[in-house]
Amino acid sequence: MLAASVPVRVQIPAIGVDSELMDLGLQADGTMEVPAGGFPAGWYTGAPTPGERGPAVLAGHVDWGGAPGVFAELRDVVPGDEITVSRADGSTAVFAVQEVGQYDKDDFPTAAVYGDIDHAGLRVITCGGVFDELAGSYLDNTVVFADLVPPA
Amino acid sequence: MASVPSTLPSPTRRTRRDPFRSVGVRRTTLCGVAMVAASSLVLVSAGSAQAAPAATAVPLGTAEPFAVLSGSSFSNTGPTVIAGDIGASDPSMVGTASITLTGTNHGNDSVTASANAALTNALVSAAGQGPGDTISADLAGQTLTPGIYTSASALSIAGPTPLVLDGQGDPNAVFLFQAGSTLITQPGTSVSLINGATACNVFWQVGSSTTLGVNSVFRGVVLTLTDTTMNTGATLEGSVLSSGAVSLDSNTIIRPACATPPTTPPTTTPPTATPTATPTDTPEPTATPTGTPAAATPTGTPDRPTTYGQVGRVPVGSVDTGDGSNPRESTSTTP
Repeated sequence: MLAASVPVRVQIPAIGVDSELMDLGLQADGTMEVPAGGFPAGWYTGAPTPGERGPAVLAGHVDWGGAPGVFAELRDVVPGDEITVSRADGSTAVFAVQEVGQYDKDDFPTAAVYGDIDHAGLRVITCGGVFDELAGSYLDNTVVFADLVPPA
Repeated sequence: MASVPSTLPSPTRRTRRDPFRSVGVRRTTLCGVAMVAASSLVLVSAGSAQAAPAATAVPLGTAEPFAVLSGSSFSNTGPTVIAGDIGASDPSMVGTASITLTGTNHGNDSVTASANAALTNALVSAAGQGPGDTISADLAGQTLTPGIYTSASALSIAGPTPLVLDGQGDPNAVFLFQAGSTLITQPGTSVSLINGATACNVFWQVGSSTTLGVNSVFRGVVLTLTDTTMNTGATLEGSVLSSGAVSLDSNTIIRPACATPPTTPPTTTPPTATPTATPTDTPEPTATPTGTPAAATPTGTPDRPTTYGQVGRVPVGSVDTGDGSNPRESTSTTP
C-alpha cells in the first residue's frame, strides 16, 4: 500500500483509456458528483486515494453529447487487465482487475463499492445497460473492481 | 499526562471527511487546526498535566446493533443511507421509503422494545460515570485524549475547526462526553478521530436533546434522553439512540461493526452486497462485445457485516455517468 497522494491520471491500456482526473465530491442530495462532460474521468475525494488501504473510487461518463465518453468501453475490461493510476507525488499505483459487473441502479452495490477492505482497492464506475429515454438515465452502472498489485 | 497528537489530520484525510469543502476553505481549516493545537498545548502545560478520568465503554446490550433507535416517533425526509438496524416504539415510522437501509427495520417489534429498555439502562450507566474533566461548551478546534468530559449544561461544536479525538494509539481507548442539557452541532462542523480512536468507543450522553447541524460530520454513539434531530445532509459514523423522537433529513448514518476489535478488517475482496444485474430486454448486438458484463454478485464473505470507516462519507445510490446520446445497446428493436 502507498501513502496518500492525489491521483492525477488513469490509464487502462486494454481499452485505450488515458485520462486526467478531476475531483468529484457529493451533490446536495448526497449522490456522487459527476464530470461536466464526457472527459476527463474523476476521482471521489471522499474515498481513499488510489494506492492507500481502502476502496478508491473513479467515475466517468460512458457517453456524452453524442460521442463516446472516457469510459465508453469500460464494460469490455476483463479480469487481469491493468489499471494504472499516476499520483501527484510522482508514484504510480497499478491495479489488476478482479471483477467487472453491471448492476441495476436501484440495487447499486453500495457495500461492495464503498465498504472497508483490508488492502488497497479500486472501483471504476460508469453507466451501462439500456438507456431509459423516459427517465433520462441509464438503467445500470458498470463497476470494475480492482486490487493493487504489489511492486515487484 | 495528556499527549500532543503526533500527527494532525493530513490534507487527504481532511479531504476524505469533508468532500463539500472547496480547496480554499480546506487550507484555511488546516491553518486553523494548527493554531488551535498550539493554544491547547499552552492550556495543557499551564493547567493540570493529568489525563481526563478514564471512561469505560457504555454497555448497550440489545441496543448495540441499532444505527437509529427511538423510544417514540421516527421521521425521515429525503434520501437517507443507514447501515445498521432501525426501530421506533411508535409504529408509524415516516419516510422509510427514501431510506437505503443495510440492516433490519424492526419497526416497533419486541427487539425494539428490548433495545429501548437497554437504552434507558445505557443512559443511566453513562450519566453515572465520572465526573469527568469539565469542558467548555464549544468543542470546536479542541484536541482531546481518551476519558470522561463533563458539562453541567450544554455541549456544542460551534465552529468549522474539527473536534479531534486522539486515541493515542490505544484501540481500546474510550471517550465519554456528558452533557447536562443539549448537544448541538452547527452546520459544517466535524469530529475527527486520530491515532486509533474509533467511533465504537466514543459515547455522548445527552441530558436533553441532540441536534446535528446541516452537512455536519459527527462520530460516536449518541445517547439522548429526549429528541434527536439530524439536519439536512448531516453524516454520522456511529448511532443515534434516543429515548425521544428521532428526525432525519437526507443523512448518512453508518454504524461501524463494533463487536470485533476495531482494527480487524474483512480479509477478502469486496464485502458482500446483493446487486441484481438487470437482464436487458433488448437483444444483444450481433457483434458480441468482449467481456460481457458479469451478472454475479461481487465476491465477499456473506456473514461479515460491512463497515465504512475508510470512506468518510458514503455517496447515496448510483452514479449518473452518461446521457444516452451514444449508447452501445439499442433502446428499441427497430432495425
